[in-house]
Amino acid sequence: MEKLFYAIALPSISLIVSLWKGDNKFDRYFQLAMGVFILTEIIGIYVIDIYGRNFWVYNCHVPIVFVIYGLMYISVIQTKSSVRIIKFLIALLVALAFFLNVPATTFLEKYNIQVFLFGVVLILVFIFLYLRELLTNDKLLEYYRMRSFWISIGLIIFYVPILPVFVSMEKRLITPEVREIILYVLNILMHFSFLIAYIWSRRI
Amino acid sequence: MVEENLDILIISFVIILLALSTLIGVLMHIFNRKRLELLLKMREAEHKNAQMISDARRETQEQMLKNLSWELHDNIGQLLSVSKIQLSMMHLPDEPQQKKLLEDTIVLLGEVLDEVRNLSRSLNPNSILFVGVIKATELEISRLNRLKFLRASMKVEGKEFEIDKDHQLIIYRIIQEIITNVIKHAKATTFEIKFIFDNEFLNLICTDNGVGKDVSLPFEGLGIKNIKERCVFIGAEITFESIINNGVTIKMRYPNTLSNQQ
Repeated sequence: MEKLFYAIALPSISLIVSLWKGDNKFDRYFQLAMGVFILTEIIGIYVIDIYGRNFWVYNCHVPIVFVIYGLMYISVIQTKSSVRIIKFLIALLVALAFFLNVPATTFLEKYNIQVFLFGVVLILVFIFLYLRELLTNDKLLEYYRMRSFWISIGLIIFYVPILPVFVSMEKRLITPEVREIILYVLNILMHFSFLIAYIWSRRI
Repeated sequence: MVEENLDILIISFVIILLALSTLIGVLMHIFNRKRLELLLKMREAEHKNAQMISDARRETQEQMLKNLSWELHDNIGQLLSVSKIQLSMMHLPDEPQQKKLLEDTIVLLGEVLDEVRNLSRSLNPNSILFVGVIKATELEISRLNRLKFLRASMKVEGKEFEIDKDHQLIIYRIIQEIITNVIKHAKATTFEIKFIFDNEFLNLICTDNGVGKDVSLPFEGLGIKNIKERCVFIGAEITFESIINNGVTIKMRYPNTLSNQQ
């Protein structure tokens, strides 16, 4: 039930608010990412009911969503060197996902956490490049009114702790139940930040 | 097992929340600091721009006044001199009335020539710098009285200190602007300027007995704007006081910059 709430309901709320207020390329990519989240969960629930396993759904989901995040940041970053870095990293992620998922045993039988962890590092790099550019821009005067700033904060809130949580789970330092509760809370905080982004922001 | 899970959960939460709060706090702090620095830089740039525009406007005005002074002296002054000479060379008519008319015209022309020369001197910044602001103001006051624009008077109190020559010119321009405003708007009959010197400041007080102004409304207009900009340039403070139908008092406080530098 909790999973339904944080995996489907919360992204749906963020998507609806974004569709209501969002009007630029960054918003469109964000809406696409939320849409992918919702679709993944719905397909995941449907597939597990029929086949008992749904690892391939999430193995597909991870590279797609991180590529969308990359494109989202390319649409707001103006520095050419940063855009080149992001494009290179996206290509690296796609290559890694391809080579790890191509063997059917890994694609169907288990969740390729390495791709996810690499994607997490990537999103943090994208956010770092964006915030670094914002610090040297005139838009810094009203950074607290910028949608992209609050969405970045939301992504930091979720993805910075998620790395140690997943690693801890792999090393069996925490149980899946503990992981679920942490994910639940982090999702709420992240989507709350997304709501601030759309309700409090204005066109800069 | 459940208790173990709970312990791990609580510990994890505390660590995560602490780490997140620190991270977000540091991020916001950095952003706020950079934002303040940017605001400061923008304000400084605005101030510099405004200063540049003010300097350019002032230089343009001085150049225009210089050009006007030359025109008056070299062109109009010369024409009047020649006219006076030519009239003086005419044979005086026998008819007493016509003779008196011609003599009066020559005298009048002489007065016009003197006024044009005085005006030319008062507009020329070099002559003001040569005689100093006190003397230049005295000449301006006597010109006002002679032309019967106002009953003007001047007082100097305290021991005079040396004022930077460029600042003297600017102070004189301020006084001229004040006098122009009094003549154009105040409908005053009397005007007084006081120069009060103490060790640290020159206090300039200009008072008229005109219609006054409602002090709740801002003192604006191009002339007042010029006065304020000039005061800022020389580091002087200026205040405007008035009662309706009881005239305006303008007080300027100029610091003794040359002795401060020594």
